[in-house]
Amino acid sequence: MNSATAVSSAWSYLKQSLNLDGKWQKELDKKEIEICLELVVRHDLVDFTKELVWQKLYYETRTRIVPTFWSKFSLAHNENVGYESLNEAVNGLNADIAKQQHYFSLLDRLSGSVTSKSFDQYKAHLSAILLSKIPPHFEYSVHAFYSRAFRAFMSLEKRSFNFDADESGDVITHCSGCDQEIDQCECNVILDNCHNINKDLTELGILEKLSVGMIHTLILSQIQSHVQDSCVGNFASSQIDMLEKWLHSIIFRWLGIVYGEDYIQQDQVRKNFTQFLYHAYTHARIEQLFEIIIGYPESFPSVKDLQECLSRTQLKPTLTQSLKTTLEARLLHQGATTEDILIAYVSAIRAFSVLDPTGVLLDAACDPIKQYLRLRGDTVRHIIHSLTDSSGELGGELELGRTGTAILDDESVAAVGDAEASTDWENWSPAPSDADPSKLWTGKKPGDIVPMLVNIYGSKSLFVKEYRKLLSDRLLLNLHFDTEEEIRNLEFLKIRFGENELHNCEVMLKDVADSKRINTHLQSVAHKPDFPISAMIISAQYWDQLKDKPMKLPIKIINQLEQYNQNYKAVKTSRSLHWVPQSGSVELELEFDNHRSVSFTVPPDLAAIISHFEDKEQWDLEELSQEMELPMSHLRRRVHVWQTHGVLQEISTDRFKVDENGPTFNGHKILLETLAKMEEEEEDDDEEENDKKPEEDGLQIYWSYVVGMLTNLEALPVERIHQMLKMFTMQGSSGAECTLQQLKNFLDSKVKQQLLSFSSGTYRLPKP
Amino acid sequence: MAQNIDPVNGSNNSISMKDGDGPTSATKHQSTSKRLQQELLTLMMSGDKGISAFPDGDDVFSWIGTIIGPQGTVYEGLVYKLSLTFPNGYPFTAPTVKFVTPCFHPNVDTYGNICLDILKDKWSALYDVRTILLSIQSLLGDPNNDSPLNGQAAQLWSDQVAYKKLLLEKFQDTKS
Repeated sequence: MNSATAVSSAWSYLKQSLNLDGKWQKELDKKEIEICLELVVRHDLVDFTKELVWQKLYYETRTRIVPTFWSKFSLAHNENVGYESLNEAVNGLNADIAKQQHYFSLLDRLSGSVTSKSFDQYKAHLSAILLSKIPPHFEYSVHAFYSRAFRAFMSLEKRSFNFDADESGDVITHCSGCDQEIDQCECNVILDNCHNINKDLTELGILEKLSVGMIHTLILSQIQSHVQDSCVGNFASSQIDMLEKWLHSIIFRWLGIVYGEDYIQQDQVRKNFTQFLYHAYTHARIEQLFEIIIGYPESFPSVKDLQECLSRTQLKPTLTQSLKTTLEARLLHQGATTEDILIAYVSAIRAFSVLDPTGVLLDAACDPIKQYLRLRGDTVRHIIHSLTDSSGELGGELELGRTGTAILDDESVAAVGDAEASTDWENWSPAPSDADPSKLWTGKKPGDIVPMLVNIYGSKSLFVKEYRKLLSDRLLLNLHFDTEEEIRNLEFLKIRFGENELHNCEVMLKDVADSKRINTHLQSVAHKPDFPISAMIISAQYWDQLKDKPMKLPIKIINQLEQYNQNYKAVKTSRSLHWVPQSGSVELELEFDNHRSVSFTVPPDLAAIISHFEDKEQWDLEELSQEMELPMSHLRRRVHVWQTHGVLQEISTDRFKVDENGPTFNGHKILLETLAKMEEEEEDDDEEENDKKPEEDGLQIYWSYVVGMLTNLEALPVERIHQMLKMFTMQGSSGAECTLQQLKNFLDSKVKQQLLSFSSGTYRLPKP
Repeated sequence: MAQNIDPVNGSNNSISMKDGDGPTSATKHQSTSKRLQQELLTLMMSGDKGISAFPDGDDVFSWIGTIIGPQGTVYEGLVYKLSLTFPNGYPFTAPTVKFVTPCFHPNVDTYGNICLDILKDKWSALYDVRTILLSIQSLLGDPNNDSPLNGQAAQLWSDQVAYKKLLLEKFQDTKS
């Protein structure tokens, strides 16, 4: 056989055996191959032949194996199908690769190497082709496959802990992992299968590339939902340790099963998942922050958790933002009472003192509360009320702060401290990096509630003014001159606000004490009056304006009061009393014709009414109204009080007489509460008036400015006047800021009084 | 505030010296405007008859004043407007005061300049807007005919009836 024919026959054999021309020969005859190879080697055709074989192999892979693999993945979004399809695809792929085995042995032979180097080379190639042809829908199958595997894993895991019983102690009959009855549970099968697939894919080196995204997504969503589950409605226990343990025992183990132990030993992988856990947990807690705050201090553990998480995550801005939104949606609206808002605020201050001792977060997050409270008229009243009411939520706060001894000066209230002037410069530290740079950071710790509350207004004088009002109300209702409680409160407030600010209040308390003394004295010297009088003698300058509605008292009472006044003048020369007839109270004992007698403690106007009936049996309402100089509507309300208590009866419309049967009850009765209610109603009546009055009083100081302005500048529009007032009135000395609208109302009222004229949009002084 | 100036840069004051105000101009400026605001308050509260003044607009350094001629003089009932301009050095430097309404008067020229000693060499920091206005008001009824700016007025002064006639004519002219 000459060499040419040998080569040509070998070539055709090789061609045939390698299926180069498309026909497939099942069995390669070893002998023939040997001969062929020998020829190839002899003719120095190794490289050429290798190239041929590779070409063939690649072609095969590209046109058949890979498309077959991907074609297994169905488009249908059905978990079962998805699960099966990955299974099938991988098995098919394995079979296909096995079929190519003879190429590899041939290639190895050609290279003369014993180890299957060519196979490794092929794997790289295969994975490249596979990945280049990934269809978009394959992820679903991977997801389906692994989530089923994960469920199986979890369910087995659970069972190994719980011994066939779930938390409620019921025997599990249904496996949550494979959706089968427990006796037919396939979890183990699924898991084994998963192991095999993983092994195969790892073998091919494509496991990570194919599945890593899906598996991570799967795990992250598992972490998310687990965190949610463990956080819901549970603030009173710390979760973070539990969660970390869970992460280690379940998630890391599962990852170990899928990717092998080596994978989870990587620091980066562990870190990533732990970080994600913290993130998820922080988010969950942030969402619940409002409830946590309301529930403080019961929710202390979760606040602690959150504090730890915040230090590991960068979620502070998210926290402030989310809390702000929640607060606005859930707290700062018309429906919430001021008291509730205050309680929430105080709770927030307390919670944040744990959460973020620097106070930066509190400042940022609770700013809306402060702003909102500033808009509510009754805030100061509520604050003071709850501070001085020892039984209330904040009752202890005044006392609590006294160890601090720091007098609130306006600087600290306004949270503006001069860093240089600080005596505590040695302990100075820079503002936290997340502090709002537009605000001066004082390093004040938000622990003390009282300054935080006062801070709502940014000025203590408003606060003190409101306290004075409150104190005056309380003292005037206190008929026993008992001031011990108030003195105690005042002392505490003095520690906080300083003596000067509260000087007025001190005078008020002293007035009460003096009144008591003078009363005792005057009563001892007086010649037996018809009824005992004890006067609350107050210094008008120091007390808030009293509600002095004019009323004419019956003449005999006036005489008595005059007598008292005379006595007073004798004791305190050059001073006299000005009576405020509608304030105070009267103790009455009414005797009826049937010899029953009943005692009442009533406001003076009620007493005056009944006293008139002493002189005259029947009164027309109108008559009485003239006699007492009270408006009909007010009088009717008061008469009605007597009527409901069975003292008076209406014999015809608006005509009353004493009810002979007398009241239906015996003993002592206090009608002061009814008074409070009536006054409230009346206040509603005159609200319009009352609202306007102080406003105009405040503006009165501007009047001379306005006159001066208009004298010199002739005519000005209201905007200009407003602007000029703002510019040229001394800030602080007048204090009262007014809005454009207020000014306009004020000027219009002057126009009505013909002190101004208004034409074509400008105000001017009228021509003399 | 002034103490916060870096001593190293203190030598660079020549830059701000160019303004002629010296290194503490800002401080002075502020104390001047404070003083003027205080004067405004006093003036508004004093309620003097026949004199009044108010800043004319955007800052407190230029005012418009109003003087009503004093009773019992030929100027009775006439209303004159003045402009007052305060320098930064006020009250150590006198303000510039002029009549805006043309005023026929021996000591007032046709441009409204006033010849009054306390506005010139006799100025003292103790004077204020109110005293200036009162002085000018009394000057109306009691001119200094020894150093007249308006010779015609000075000559005519002795004949009060003719003076008043001419004064009212001139005043009506300005009105129309």
